[in-house]
Amino acid sequence: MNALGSTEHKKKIDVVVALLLFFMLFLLALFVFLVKVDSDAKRYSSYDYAVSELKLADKSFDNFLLQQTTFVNYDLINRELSKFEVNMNFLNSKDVAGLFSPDYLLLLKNIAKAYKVKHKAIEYHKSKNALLLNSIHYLFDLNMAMSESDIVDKATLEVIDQTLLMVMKFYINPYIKIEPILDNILKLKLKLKKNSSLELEMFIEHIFLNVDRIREFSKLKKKQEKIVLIDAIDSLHIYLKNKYKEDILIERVIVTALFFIALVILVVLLIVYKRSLKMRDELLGFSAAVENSYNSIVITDIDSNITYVNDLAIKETGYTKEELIGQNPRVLKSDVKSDAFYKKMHEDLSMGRKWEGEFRNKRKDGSLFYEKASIMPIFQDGELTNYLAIKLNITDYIEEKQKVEHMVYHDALTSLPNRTNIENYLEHHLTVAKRDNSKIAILFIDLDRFKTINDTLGHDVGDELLVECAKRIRSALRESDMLARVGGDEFVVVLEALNDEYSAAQVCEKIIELFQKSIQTKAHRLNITLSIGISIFPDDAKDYTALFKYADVAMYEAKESGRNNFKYYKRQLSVDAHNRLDMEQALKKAVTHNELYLVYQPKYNILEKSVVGLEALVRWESEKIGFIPPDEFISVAEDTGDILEIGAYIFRQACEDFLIFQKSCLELQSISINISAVQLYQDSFVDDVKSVIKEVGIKPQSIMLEITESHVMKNVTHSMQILKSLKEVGFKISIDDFGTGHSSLSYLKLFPINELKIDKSFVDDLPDDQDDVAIARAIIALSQNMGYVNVAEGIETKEQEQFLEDNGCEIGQGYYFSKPQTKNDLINFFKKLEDES
Amino acid sequence: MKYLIIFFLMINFVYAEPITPLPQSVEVDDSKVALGKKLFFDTIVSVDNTVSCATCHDLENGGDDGLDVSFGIEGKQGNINSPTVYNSVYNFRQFWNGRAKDLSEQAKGPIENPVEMGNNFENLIKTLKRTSYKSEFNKVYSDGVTKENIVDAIAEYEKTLITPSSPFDRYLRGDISAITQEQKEGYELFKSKGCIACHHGVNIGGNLYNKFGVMQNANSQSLGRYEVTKNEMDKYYFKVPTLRNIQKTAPYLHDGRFKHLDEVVKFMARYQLGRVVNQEEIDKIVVFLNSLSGEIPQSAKR
Repeated sequence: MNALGSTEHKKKIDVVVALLLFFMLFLLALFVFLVKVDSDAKRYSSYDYAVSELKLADKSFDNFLLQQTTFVNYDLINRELSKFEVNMNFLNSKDVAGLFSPDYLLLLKNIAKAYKVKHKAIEYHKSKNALLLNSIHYLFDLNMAMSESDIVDKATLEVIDQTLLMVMKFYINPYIKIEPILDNILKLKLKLKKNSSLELEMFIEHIFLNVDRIREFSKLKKKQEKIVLIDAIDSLHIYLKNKYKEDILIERVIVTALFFIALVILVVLLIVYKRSLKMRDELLGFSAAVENSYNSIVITDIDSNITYVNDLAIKETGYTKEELIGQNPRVLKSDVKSDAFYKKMHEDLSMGRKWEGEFRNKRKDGSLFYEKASIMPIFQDGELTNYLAIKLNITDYIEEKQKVEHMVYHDALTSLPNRTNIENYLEHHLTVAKRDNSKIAILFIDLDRFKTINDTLGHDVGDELLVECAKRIRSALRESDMLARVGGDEFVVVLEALNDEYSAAQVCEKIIELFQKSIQTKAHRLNITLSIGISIFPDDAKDYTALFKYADVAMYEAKESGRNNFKYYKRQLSVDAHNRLDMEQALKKAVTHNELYLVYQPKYNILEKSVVGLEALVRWESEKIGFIPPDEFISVAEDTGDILEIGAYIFRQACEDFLIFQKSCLELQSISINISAVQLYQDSFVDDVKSVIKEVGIKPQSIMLEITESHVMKNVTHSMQILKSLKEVGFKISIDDFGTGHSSLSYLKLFPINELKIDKSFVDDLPDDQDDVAIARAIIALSQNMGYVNVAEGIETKEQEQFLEDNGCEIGQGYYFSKPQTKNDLINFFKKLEDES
Repeated sequence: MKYLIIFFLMINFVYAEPITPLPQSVEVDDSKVALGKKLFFDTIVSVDNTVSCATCHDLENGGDDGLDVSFGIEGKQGNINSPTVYNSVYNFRQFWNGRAKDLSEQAKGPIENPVEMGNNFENLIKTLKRTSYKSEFNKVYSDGVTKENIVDAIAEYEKTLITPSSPFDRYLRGDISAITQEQKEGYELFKSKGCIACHHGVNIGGNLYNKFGVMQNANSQSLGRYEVTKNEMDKYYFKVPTLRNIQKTAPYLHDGRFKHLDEVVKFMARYQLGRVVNQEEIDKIVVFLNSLSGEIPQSAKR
């Protein structure tokens, strides 16, 4: 089945491959996007981390800025600062900033700006913190030192303590009034004026400084509050978060879309797969059905190359699968069916039509078998793609049918056609014969005294005898002749295309002759004779029933006249046939028994009345049947082939005699010898005559070969060849009986002719019959124009001679001048002529 | 009331040691260090091939030149005392006025300073490219000899110039016998007198700016950080210098006005802290300061 539907299959595969490719493509895209999402997430998380670091650093900045009198290791705050800067640099680097819009840079710039201010504040804070810390520290040192010694009096010390406390308060809340502190300072300064003390001096100095610094601090703090570094960082943070959400949203949408597209493709693939599974199952089912079919199934492509054969087809043909695939189915073709049969089939198929018929195909081993086939073109999408042949081996059926047919139409014993068969046969063939105007002879053959043999020796012997008889009869017949067994000991022969009625007699003779020999059966030697009756179509009857009846009648007549013999239905025919057979018998011995002899009729110059030539004529004086005129026996001799022997005798005898005649008649120019068409068409004819004239010693120029016009015209091309080669030897050619043979003048012109002889029938009624006159004149004129010598035959009267003389005919021949004479008479005739002249 | 104050002070100073020891080593790129070291000692960086980095930063003698102010090419006199190059990597800013953010930025300064090396980078790069430096730079830096690479290499080298394992550092790390009793007392004074407020951290200073002459005018010619920022508030503000190896880096202060440490300590107590300290205390503090001299690193040797 793979031969079928292959293109559809291919298309489906292409779709599947395309879908798979798409699927893989989308998977790849999905993967790439997932990787991108992941790296984006990482990227954003690193930004987030950096921003968080900024925030943390800012927190520690704030923390630091809150610490006024606490000792701080500035390394720590420096570390925070550089951490902040490192993160800022990271966020500001090309790798990061390049990915964002100018808004981002603006936000970064805001941060940098705020940071710059804050950084500055931190630096001041560091200095101030160090100083303040130190100062306060020292103040307490001093306070302690002063309270422990008696550098100052108690009252002063109290003022100092109070001042210190106020400074502390001021320190904690820089918004309180500082006037009390300044008052105290004034008091202390007064004390100092009274009682100079380095410690007190220092104390006052430091208090001043402290107040100043605390003021500065609160100023700075106010400034710091305006610094919105954290806001700037937050803005950036929000910006990044939004940006991230945006990016992730887009990517999520893309990833989801890719995922769903991939899912859809997968579903489509699944559906296609399901379908192909179903189709495969169906195909498997079909395939199994085809494989195990009781029909041979052959599929070819459009160029008739076999693409599939099922098991039975392999078994039936005897070829292997490999031998058949790719072959043209014509390897199976036998030559039994005609080319036209196959032509019709190809025509039908190429027109896209279904074809049904029977093949007689050939197996690999050469044996033949019958197949009933139906071949149909297969179309796919309107295009012819394959041919499917479903064939059934019907050899058994056909053979059985033939056997039955044979039994119906044949005799079981001899296998010869039976009566029904021959009746059918005749029915058809009589119509043909009627149309062709040809004759058919029906021979009714009956075995003489067969009943006696059958009764005395038994049916087995009778059957054996019948089979042998059938064989013998058959052997006497031509292939085309029909033999049938129509009754117990009755046979019918149908002879078609008869030359004449007598051919049937010849066949009968032959059959009867064959039965002269006794027949050897298993146990007996039997002598059996036949009686044959003949009826002729269409002479005796025109339908086969009558023909059978008449043949039967003739057969009984033969039996009555003594058996072992044949009879025509027409009595005269029987007689004639027997006469003719007698003549044939006699003719066979005519030459050897010297029963033939020649006579010569002079050809004379009509004007001068002088002999110019002789025509040799044959005569037959049979010992058995007496004198037979030449026009009777020549045609029989031509039929039997005896003419060859006779012709050879005539030619040689005439040549020899002519040499003798020449001595007594000096004017004698030529001897005319009649040549039969049978002789002329003999392959060896030219060589034969050449050797004869050589032997006899006569010049070929002296010999005029007379050939009947109708014979020459039978086969123009062959005749022309022979005549040309005869002419080359030196013979002269005369066309005899001119005017009776339907000559075509265009051919005549081409023949190497010396002489034309006007047929006697045209001369007979001269000069009274106007038609004959016209013909004679025309022939004479033709001869003169073509340069032939003109001879008129059968001149019997003075008037005829006179007419011919008047019309310019040169040479004559006939009883009026001289009848044919024997050799001796002719020599005397010459002498007499000589004497007369 | 007093207890409150004492508590107040306690939380200020007690918690952790305000000074952290130097790390034993720093992480550096050795090939850059080698190149930087070569440059550091090479006079090729100066326009007339007379002055190298090491001219003013004598690594054998505390990393400075022992002069009040430094001299550059053709004997030109500078206007500031050369600070030590040792441990400078731990300074939060470079130069007295903090005008350089880090070492590599600092290294650009002297090269183009007309009274120091008097060179310019265009010329220096050309000069270096004519020598074997070209191939050496190509080995270390993909873009070969550039301004940034020159100072980067020098800065990388300078990172290695740290002096760990001073007696005081060893003491901080737990070796209580690394310094003398007197030095310990000096350290206590150093803290209680308030020096520690500015001189603390890993570099014992170098992590903030502060005013020179807090209590009264200290008579400074240089205006300090003001020269950089032109901010009134920054007048006389200088980077607080490191006290590491202070024993070896006389003369002292940005104008090298003192040759001896006790003078400086006394000056600082009066002008910066506004304190009265007696000679005994000063001596103890000086003894303590002597314990801050560390080992000259291997990379400092030629």
